[in-house]
Amino acid sequence: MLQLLGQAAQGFNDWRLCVMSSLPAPWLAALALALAASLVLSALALRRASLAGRGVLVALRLVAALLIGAILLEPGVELRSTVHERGRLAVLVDASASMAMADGDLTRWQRAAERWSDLAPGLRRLAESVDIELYRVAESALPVAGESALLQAPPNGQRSDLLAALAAIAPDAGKRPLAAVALISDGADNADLQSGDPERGRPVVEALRAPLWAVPVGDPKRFRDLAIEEVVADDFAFVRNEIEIEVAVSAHGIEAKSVPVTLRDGGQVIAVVNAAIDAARPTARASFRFTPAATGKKLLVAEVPVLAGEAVVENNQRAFALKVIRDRIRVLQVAGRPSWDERFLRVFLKANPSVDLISFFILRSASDQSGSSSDELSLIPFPTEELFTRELKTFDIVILQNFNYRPYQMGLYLQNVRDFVTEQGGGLAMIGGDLSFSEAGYGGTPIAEVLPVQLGSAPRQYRRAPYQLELTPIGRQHPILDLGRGEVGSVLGRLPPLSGLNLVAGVADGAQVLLTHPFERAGRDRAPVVAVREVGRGRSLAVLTDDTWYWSLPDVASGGRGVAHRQFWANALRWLIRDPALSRVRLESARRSYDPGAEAELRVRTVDAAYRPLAAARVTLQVVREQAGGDRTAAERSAITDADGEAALRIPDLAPGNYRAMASAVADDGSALGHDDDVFIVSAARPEQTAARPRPELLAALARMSNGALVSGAVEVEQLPRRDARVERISRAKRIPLWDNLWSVLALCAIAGSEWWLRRRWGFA
Amino acid sequence: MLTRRHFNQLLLTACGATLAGAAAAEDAVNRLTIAQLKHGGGWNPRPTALRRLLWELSKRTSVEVEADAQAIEPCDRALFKLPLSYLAVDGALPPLAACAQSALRSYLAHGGTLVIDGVSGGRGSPFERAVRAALAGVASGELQPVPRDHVIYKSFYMLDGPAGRTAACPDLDAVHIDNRLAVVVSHNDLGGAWARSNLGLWEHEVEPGGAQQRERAFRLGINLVMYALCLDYKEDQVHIPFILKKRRR
Repeated sequence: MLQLLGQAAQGFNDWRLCVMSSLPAPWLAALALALAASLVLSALALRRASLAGRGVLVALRLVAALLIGAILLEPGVELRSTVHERGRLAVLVDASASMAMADGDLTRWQRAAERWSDLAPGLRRLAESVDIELYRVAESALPVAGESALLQAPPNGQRSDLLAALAAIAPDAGKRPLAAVALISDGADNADLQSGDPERGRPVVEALRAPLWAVPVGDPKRFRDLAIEEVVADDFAFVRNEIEIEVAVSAHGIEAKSVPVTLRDGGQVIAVVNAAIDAARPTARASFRFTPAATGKKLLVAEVPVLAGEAVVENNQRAFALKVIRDRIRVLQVAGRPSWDERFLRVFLKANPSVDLISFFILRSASDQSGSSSDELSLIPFPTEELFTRELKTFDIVILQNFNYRPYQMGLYLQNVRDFVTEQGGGLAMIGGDLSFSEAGYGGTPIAEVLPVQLGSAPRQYRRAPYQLELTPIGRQHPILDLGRGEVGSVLGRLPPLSGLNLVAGVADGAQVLLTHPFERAGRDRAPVVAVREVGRGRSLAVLTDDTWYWSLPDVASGGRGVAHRQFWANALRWLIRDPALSRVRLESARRSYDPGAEAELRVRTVDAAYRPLAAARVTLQVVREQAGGDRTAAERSAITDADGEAALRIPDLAPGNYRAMASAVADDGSALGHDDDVFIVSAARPEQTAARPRPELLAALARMSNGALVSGAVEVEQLPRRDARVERISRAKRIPLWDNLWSVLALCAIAGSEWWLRRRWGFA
Repeated sequence: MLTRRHFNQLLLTACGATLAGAAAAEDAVNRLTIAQLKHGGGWNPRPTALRRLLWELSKRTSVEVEADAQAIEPCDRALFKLPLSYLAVDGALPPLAACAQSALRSYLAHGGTLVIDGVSGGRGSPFERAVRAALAGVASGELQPVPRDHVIYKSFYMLDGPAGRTAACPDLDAVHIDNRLAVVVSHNDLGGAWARSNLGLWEHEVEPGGAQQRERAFRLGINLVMYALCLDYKEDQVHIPFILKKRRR
């Protein structure tokens, strides 16, 4: 046919007949039926004709029908230029860093070179029928040109992801079919196959549609290593609630029956637990129970001792971060006497599910005469020593409500309360009344050092007369006065006036006054009614009245809903405990753990008093490395926040270790915004060192899954299973019509005309 | 522009300034008092009772009190500044006015406590029926006996039951709102046991227990006030070992 077509078929090596009609298939089918019906009707109409005449007329109609069909179908010849492509045989050599490890007197990489040498002659012979593709494998498969490039560079891939490498060479990835895949590897995968479950690789292996030749290198028996394989712990824990931390220790080639696993919090050892080693099960587990005593972000370290001859020592320790949060805010409420202010605050605290309340109310003073024996009273001793020495650190907030400390010999413990605020980061709220502030003689005591107000020594500083609160500019923006239902000034204006007021000498340095008396003075300023202060690590709140309960029941009388009291105290608690949601400076590390040499990425966000993004704030960042001998500053940075109130800071070249980053920020008007911290780890061990044990069993399982072979030692490559992966590919095609000429139409007209003329002549028309 | 609110604030401030000096010179203490509710019937059968209870409260506890209770109409919005109110019933208790019902409903729902004291109480008595009828309009809860282990019997004194001028009923009744006793009903004429004339004479005999019963009536009154002020404070875990130990003695 190609010769028949001559010049038109030049450059093509194949042909086939084809239909070139553009008519839709239903039309063609209808036409065929019409032609068939025409033939049948023609034959029926000629029943009275002679056999010869009937045969001639039917034959003419048949030929005419065939000609019509042929013209409409437009038969043609498709000329093709076809190429027979060869299949591929991919050879993958693991070039991850674990291949550089020693395996007896050679490295795994050297043993891989030996295995390549075993395979290469056979592969060269197969190269006559398949294309041999060479790849270096680490995070994925990287093609290399020529055998010399395959093993030339040392293995330095930072991760082994065998499945990603296999997926990259699969036919589904737009590549030609594979005849076979040879994988030379130690099997020390640290991605999806790290768990050792080969079934996780089944979808990828089946997508190869070719047998896998697993060529393992490295002998697990020669691998001696003790490693923290995994730490199973939640990212966060509740303060004063016990948590369980499970440490998985992998022990290979270790003779000992057990190894001590140590859990440290910085330099302090939390516990040491012996993990029993079983030769049959190389992963031992040690369980720890840990009760964090304070909130914050911690870096805990699990470690095992370094034994002689270990392949990797960097994996004997693993740090992990734990964010300790409050489950409930533990509040100590001490009231000097029962009162409505005490009662409504207690109702709020008891009803708040996030508060764990311990109350002590002085129901009877030394001068009161109950007229009964103590057994007839339900009173209990006020356990001052227990509360203000041993138990104090267990609280988040201490509320001293109209409480005079002097009758209870508490002077000794006031220092503890101050330290609770400044050192432990606790919150202190002092609420007014005739037994509070200056009236109670707190002036000059350690507590006075942490209050937001300066206390005078003059007695009788408590007043009762109605007054309407005045809002300060700071108070207008402060989260404590976010009382809901509109702008805070109008909300306060609708609340009932207060009466009680504790006059003080002034405002403490660094304190902020939120609400004042309309005319009473404290020094040169208006007398504060609500003031706050950040002092040391903690915060303090002074409410210089015993009438905030007016914002509850009495507010209902004036048409309010009585919720301002609850909202005020809920805000106050959150502010006192430094609820992160109320922090004006937020620091966050992009990752909890960085690989060695990676750049730590830290982001600081600042907000203004109304909690909107604050631009142009000056951020100061200090990164310290936490270590047993004392923390050491590793980096210091400063930055200015952008229009979104954010500043991104990058810290390169951090040595492996545990780090705490601390950010503080100052607004462009010089006011301090606060501080925040976060922790992160720069790992000593790369993933390649963490999971470095050779795993020939894993490779063998993958080979079985693909109906491949485990290749160990010298082998006849031609004998290994492979599939015929050749494909025929059409590179060019051209169609030539066969009936596209005048003669076919003239022939049709002649035949149809002949049939018509004969019919008339024989008397059948 | 001077608005009504600003004018009120200025007025308040001016009054406050005038009063402040005098108040500072006086004994400025936030003192507790009790609202005595008026109604259409015999609302004050024991005029000296609450004065005496407040006096005893002051003498025996650390609570600072006003000398007298404050008689008030339930419709008066000033009631909301007096979270503890006392309603005495001598004879009939006429139906409460609509505004009184509305105010008491809101008062109780937002934290107020109401003590109802019957001169002639008892199970099935006209007093009980009248109280149930009145409460139907102000509290949605059912009036039920208060169990003997309730904190109201140990909020200051350790008591084993109710007391009063009479012993007509062995229980206090109460309506619960938000897990607290919002309405407490005494059938035993507490006020009759508390009432004492200006000459220092008890105004009513206490039967059948005499002086001991009167003392228990005062103790119950003090417990009622302490309960209103401290609620379930005595049920905090820290108190339980001490209270159990005293109960065993």
